[in-house]
Amino acid sequence: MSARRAGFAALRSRRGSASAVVVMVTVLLAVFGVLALVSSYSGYKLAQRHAAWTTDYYAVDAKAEAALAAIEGDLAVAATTAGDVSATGQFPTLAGMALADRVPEGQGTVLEDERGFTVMINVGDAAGQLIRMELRIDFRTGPIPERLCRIVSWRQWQKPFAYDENPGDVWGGES
Amino acid sequence: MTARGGTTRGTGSTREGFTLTELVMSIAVLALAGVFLAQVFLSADRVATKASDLDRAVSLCTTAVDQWKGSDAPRSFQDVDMLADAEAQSPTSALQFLDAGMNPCAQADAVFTVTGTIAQDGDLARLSVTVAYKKDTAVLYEIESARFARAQERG
Repeated sequence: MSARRAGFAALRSRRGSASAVVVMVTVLLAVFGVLALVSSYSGYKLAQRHAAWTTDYYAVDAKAEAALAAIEGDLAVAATTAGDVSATGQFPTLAGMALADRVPEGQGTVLEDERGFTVMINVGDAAGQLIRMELRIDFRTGPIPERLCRIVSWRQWQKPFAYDENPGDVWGGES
Repeated sequence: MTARGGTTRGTGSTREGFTLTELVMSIAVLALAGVFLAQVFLSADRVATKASDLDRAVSLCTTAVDQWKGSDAPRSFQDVDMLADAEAQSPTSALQFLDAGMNPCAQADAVFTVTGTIAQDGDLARLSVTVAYKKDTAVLYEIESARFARAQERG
């Protein structure tokens, strides 16, 4: 009985309670500090990924614009040589040859009909971003227009990825 | 003189509380831990600020590029809100000073600089926008874009 009473007395003892409080407060602050740090690093990694994706997107977009400028340039030369962009003159032949050279096999298609050409081109990068553009070149009579290509569609396509395999590349805890 | 939980000689009363040694030790340990923990929190704050700055710089650059791509004047900054006021420097080169919130400000109050450059490359107009820290000119974010813009109008 006296041993039991001594045990209760030991439990009631407040010796070292200040240290216990300090240890608990320190541990609590350390946990919150680490959580804040992990959260900040994750946010920073995501911001970096977003920045890289944006840079890549505009780089691919610039490549697509360059392809458009090249096609416009080729068509302008064909139109100047032919003297017009009508279906009856030399323009369809010259433009068809220029487009065949400009759009390599596997990167797009060139379709010709009685009213003009439809050109579909894929411009992409190694990271898996792609821009699919569809252009229309119409035959017409009269003076050569300022722009020969009409943009029908300009679509961005992203290579699919599995969420399970790529959890966003957030900070995994390693420094 | 007084032991915790003990009896004060002469009075017979029981006094409870922390001893001076406990308090001094606790405060010392807390101060020591506080120094390290403060550094952890400061690091977290610094990284969060960097992430926020990067996000805002990306947003600013993409807005500028999109406004330029949609503009009727591909060889000037007249439709780019952030750089339109800075155009006086040159039609194809602009420099704007930004405060900590990435708003235009006077050079003296600036934390960031945003630079825009337009170049003509054949029938392609190219725009480069760079956001950098004014203090050490370290580049925070840079973006390049291009658009079809015939170098010479056909007569």
